[in-house]
Parts: sequence; C-alpha cells; structure tokens
Amino acid sequence: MHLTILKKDFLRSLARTHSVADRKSSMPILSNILLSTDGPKTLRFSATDLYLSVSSTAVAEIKAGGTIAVAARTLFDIVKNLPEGEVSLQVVGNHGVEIRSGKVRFKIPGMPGQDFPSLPNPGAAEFATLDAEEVGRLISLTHYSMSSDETRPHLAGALFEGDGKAVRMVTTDGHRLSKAEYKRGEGKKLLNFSMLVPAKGIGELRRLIDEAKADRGKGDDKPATIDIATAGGSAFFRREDVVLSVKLVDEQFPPYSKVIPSAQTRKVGIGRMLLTEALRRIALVASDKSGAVRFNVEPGTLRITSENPDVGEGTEELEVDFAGEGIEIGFNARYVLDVLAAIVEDDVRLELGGQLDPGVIKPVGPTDFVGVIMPMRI
Amino acid sequence: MDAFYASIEQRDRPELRGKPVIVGATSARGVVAAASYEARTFGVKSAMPGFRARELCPSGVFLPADMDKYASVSAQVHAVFEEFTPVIEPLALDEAFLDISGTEGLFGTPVQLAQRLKARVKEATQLTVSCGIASSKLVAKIACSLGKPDGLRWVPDAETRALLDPLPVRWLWGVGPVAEKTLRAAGFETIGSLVNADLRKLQRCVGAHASELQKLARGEDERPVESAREQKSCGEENTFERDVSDRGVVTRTLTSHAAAVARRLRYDGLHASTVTLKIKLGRARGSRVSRTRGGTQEEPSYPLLTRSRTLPEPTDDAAVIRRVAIDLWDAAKISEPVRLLGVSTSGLAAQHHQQLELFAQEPDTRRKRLGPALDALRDRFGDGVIHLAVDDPQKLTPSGQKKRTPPRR
Repeated sequence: MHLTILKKDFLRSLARTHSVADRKSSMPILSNILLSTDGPKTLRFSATDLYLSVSSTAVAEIKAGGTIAVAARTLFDIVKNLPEGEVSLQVVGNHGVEIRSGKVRFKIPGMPGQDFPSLPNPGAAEFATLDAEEVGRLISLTHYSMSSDETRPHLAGALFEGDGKAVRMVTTDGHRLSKAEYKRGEGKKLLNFSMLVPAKGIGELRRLIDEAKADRGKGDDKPATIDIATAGGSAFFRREDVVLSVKLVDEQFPPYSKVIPSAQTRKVGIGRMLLTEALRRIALVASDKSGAVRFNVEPGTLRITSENPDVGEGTEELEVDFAGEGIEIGFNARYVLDVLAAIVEDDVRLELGGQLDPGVIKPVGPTDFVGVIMPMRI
Repeated sequence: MDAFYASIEQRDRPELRGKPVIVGATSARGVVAAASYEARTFGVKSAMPGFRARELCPSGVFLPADMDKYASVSAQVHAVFEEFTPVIEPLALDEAFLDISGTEGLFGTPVQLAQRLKARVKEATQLTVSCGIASSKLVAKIACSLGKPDGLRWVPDAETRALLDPLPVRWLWGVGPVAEKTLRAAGFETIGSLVNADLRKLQRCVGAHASELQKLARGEDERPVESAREQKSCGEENTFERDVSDRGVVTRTLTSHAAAVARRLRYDGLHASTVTLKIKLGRARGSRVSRTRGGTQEEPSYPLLTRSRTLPEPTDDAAVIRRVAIDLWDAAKISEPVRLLGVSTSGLAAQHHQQLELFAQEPDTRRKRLGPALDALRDRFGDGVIHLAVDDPQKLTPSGQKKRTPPRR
C-alpha cells in the first residue's frame, strides 16, 4: 500500500474516526484505525469498539492498493503535528507504516488489515433523510435525562422514533423523563421507525450533527441533513462520506407515554432564568446527596425552601402566574435545573397535580418538549 | 471485659471452669477470637491462627463463636455503662471508653465509680470487667490492659510518665510491627526513650507521624470520647475453608454478602453510594511480620485486591449491590483461587427525602420494595422463613450469571 494525501484531508478523516477506537479493549486491534484503499482516488478510514463503528473517506492519490491497521491515537497525533501539504504513506516490511512529509519521516508499527473486524453493513436498507439541525435539537433537549447506569441498558440511551409525520426522542433514568419531537414538513414521506440508541451512540451522533452544522456555516446554503437506516440490529447514520453505525439496545424502553400527565390541575407560569437562579441559590443548603427543595405554590407566588440540619436553611419567594389552589411539593433541585438548562425559551410553565404526582415543565413557545420529574417525599 | 467470649462460655457451662477454653479457631483457617486465662498460660492469644493454638494447647476446649449470645451480653454490659454516663465510645463488643467527667457529685471519686461499675457488671452478667482510669484514652487503655484480669487501676496525671516510660514502644497507638522494628533499630526501645528524642531522627523512622507519636509518648492524647462516631462503611467478608475458584460459589458468596450488607444498611436507615469488592488471593507471596503480645512472628502474606464502583444513585438494595459486586468480580478477571471475598459499601448517608419513581409498576422498581418486605418477614418469623432463588445458583440460573454448560467434573 502506497499513497499520497493532503494533510488537511488526512487529519479531517482521522479526527472523525479516531475517538471511536477503543484503547482499553482486551482486543488490541480495536485500538487501531483501519486504512484501506477504495479505488484509485479514495482512502477509507474505519474504527470500531464492536458497539460503535465509524467510517469515513478522503481523496488520496493511490499508488498501490491495500489495507493496514494503525494505532489510532499515535497516527492522529503524528498527522496533527505534520507540516501542511502533501503526506506520503507507505506500508513497508512486516506491517510497518512509513509516513513522510517534506523532511519529516516517521515509521510506526501496524497490524495486518485483514485482522480488523468487519464493520456492520446497511446492505440494501433504505435510508431516510432527516433535518440534521432538528435531530440535533432533539438530542440537546433530552440528553440530560438518560441514565448513566450501564447496568440498566434499557435506560442508558435514547428512544429515537419516527411516527408518521413526527420524529421524536425520549430519555428517562426512572426518576425523570424528557420527550422532544418535531413535525416533518409537508410533502415528506411518512416515517415509521423505533430504535433504542445507547448513550455513547447519541454522543457520536451529536458530533456528526455538529460537524454538519459547522459545514453549513461555510457558505453552503442547503439545510444540513442526515440519513438514517436500521439493519441487522444496528442503526446507520450517514452524512456525506461518514457512516456511523451503532449497535442498538435490544431491550424494552419503559412505557413512557403512560407516565406523562395530560391534564394537570395547576399551571404555574414563570421566567426560566428567574427560576434557575433561585434554585441555584436555595440548593446551596440542600442536602448533598438528595438535593431536595420544597416548592410552595400559592396564587401569585412560588416559595422555594431548603433545609439541611448540618448546613442551614434558605428560602426565596418568586412572583409567578398562578391562580389555582395552593400546593406543597418536593423536588430534587438538580432535576429541575437540568430541564431548565435544556430549554431555550424565556418562559416556562410548571404543571403540577397532587403532591406525589409527577411535575411537568414545558417551554412557553414553539418547541414541542415535555420534561417530567417525579417529586420527592418531604 | 476479661477474656470476654471465653468467660461467657465458662459462665454458661460450669464444667468448663478452670479449663483452657478457646473460642473461635474451630475451622482450619479460623483464628482465636478469645482465650480464657487458663489457655493463656499455654501461650494462646487472640488472633492467633487455630493450628498454632492447637500446637500450644492440645488439651484446650475449642468452641465455635456464638456471636449472637456475645452481642446480647455486650448489650447488657452497655446498659450498665449507661447507668454511669451517656458519653460512651464502644471499641468492640467487650471494650468501651466512658467519659466520666462531671460525675463526682453522683458517684464520688473515679475509683469509687469504677468499683461500683465493676460490681454492677458482675451483678448483671456474672462476668468480670477491668477498668483503667486516666485523663486520656491512651493512658486509660494501657492502665486497663495492665490491670487485667478483674483490674482497677487509676493513673493520676502526675504518675502518667512513671507508668509509660518503661513500657515497650509497641504499646503506643500507631506503632505496629513494622514501626516497632524500625524504632528499635534506631535505639528506641521504650516509650520513655521517645519523649526527648530528636524529632528529626524520629521522623526518619516513622515519617510525618513523628510529632504525634512523641505527644502520645508523653501521655498527651487529646482525642475526646466520641459517643456517636459516624459510620463510614458497611461490609461483610469471609475466609473460605478451602480456596475457591468456582464462579458458582463466588456468586453465591457475593449474593449472601450483598444481602447482609443491604439489610444492615436498611436497619441503620442508610444508603450507600460506593460498592467495594475485596479479594484475597489464595497463593501467598512472601510473608509479613505480625505482632503478638510476646513479640513478633512471620505470617504468609496473601495479595489483597480491591475494586470499587460508585453508583449512579445511592442504594440499600441487595440486588443492586450484588450485581455491582459480581460485575467487579468479572472485570477483575481473577484466574487463580481466592482465599477471602468481601463486599463493602461506603459513602453512607441517610435518605431523608425519598425520590419517587416514574415507573412504579416496572419490575426494576418493584424490586426496590423487596428488601424491606423480606426484612419484615425475617424480623417476625426468623431468618430461615424466606430465601431468594438466587441464593442457590445450583438450582436456578439467576440473572447476571451466564447459563452454564453441564458441570465439569
């Protein structure tokens, strides 16, 4: 294998792929990036940790075809620090890789390309095209309530659904839940899909979308898009020459629609920043582990109180838009703050039922979002 | 208390009085939990390996430890202590510090109080207790040890130095076998020799601990008697009779440790945020010096590994602790037999406000109510009334354990 490639193209493809390579795996080959030639003008980059795989291509001048697996981190660091311009890469004896650029020369050990596991293939699966910005928004709105408990895989990810005209993302850790959706424009095909994407996959998808958005800023006026498909237990996300595949979680997501209250009796209108700042202050004296604060809602006011026998107590009264029957309810301050941080609108509505019923926070505005939080017993 | 467990056995079984009684050490790897004074004349001491005790005292009566009985006697003794002062710091089932400051009006001089306390303990339990009285915990404990059995020793401040100075350095807190060796090598044999020692020379022996050690040597120990020490961790461990490598036995052991730990957490109203797995490997690597009252001895040293994980949310649920412990075991990839397994939890805190669950009817959530329900059943009908199927992996394949191919023989 022998080729030349521009440093910036080389680096771009490595930047997209090297983070997926798994340096901690017990399979040494997984800490590598697979470089393989694909015709006379294309170099393909692949990396996988067996759950998440990514591949990308770059334009290169192929002098001799072949494949080689190279330590991802080392290669990335070397290429990042090369001078701008043309880079030559050549496989030499015993799977060595020689990298030259001007007067710089590196030789690093590689592994035979055929030892690299084959990446999942979408085969003939049909890709649907989604608006990348909208999908990015769904992730921003819901990622906070994914569970970080890897022993509960059905919660440590996001449910990503296409439901006719609506595209939806739902996450929950068992104490709170968030659901965001958007409607696809007129003339778009109806979509029906449902996938449970693990947290790490959501993280990589977000990177892919951020890159799409950044490219759009560079003068291209077309809306950024992303293609999705599922096949053989994996989801495929494709954008231009980058394909991300994620092994889906084969578990049942909890029946979320049942726990989203539909007819709450108390609706409290409040400024998002006002509530955020008050909570940050009062939570200072909440107990470390539970972060419990008490909400006392009365017509026109919301009083937030917290007390910790070891630290002290604090209280703050806020003016709110509320006219119904008062209620006292406890929440974990962090849970409320997380919802408020995900929303972008200036005003929110806090909807409450009884003292032990879930509380709901919705933005006052066009975003189709619901944040549900179970209260604490106080 | 004097030879506490052994004395209880001798009290309850008159035929054992006057005989060397050794509690614990009934199994191959057990250690001596207590030795009666008769047994001590043979050289048997607490914490000595069982085989050694048998060598020294072949005629001894070796009894299994009946911890429930000892705990209930301990509670009786503790109740007597409470008649004298509310400030009590228990050290073990049979040992406690009592702060008796300000009790003179009620009980007279410290010695009068101690005499009364000894009489009350005897009355309540027919057992003898030794008391050491001093203005610091260090000196009181030393005075107590020197007075055993059935002792009462008061060390006024003016006599502290006379008591401490001639004692070997190992009587001080913080001086273990290793420190003792280095101190003696540097010429520090007695506590008295530390008092005016050059601090820098001392630092070379024991490091940063030097100035504190010198203070202790002078009898200066300002630690108060702490009646409510915060609980830092809660754990359970066991040493196997024979080293274990079978995953089924490991799983079963971790399951039962997790259940015991969770039950204690619930009893204390605490939730734990970190689970630690402790593994002692079966093959000794080298040896270490251990201390006995008479001197030191070499003991084989078994490598100890610990692995811990912090949970996304604090728990008192046996199933969660079990799952994490088994996960840690699998991740540790132990390929040789193990001697000891332990599960402990830390980051303990009371859960004042209960976070409610969104999916109260989901199996995952319902399981959280299982622990308290089992506790209630066992409290009422005894521990044997109900078992989880996972307690016996031979019969069923619990979740988390891979289906096994037919047993290899």
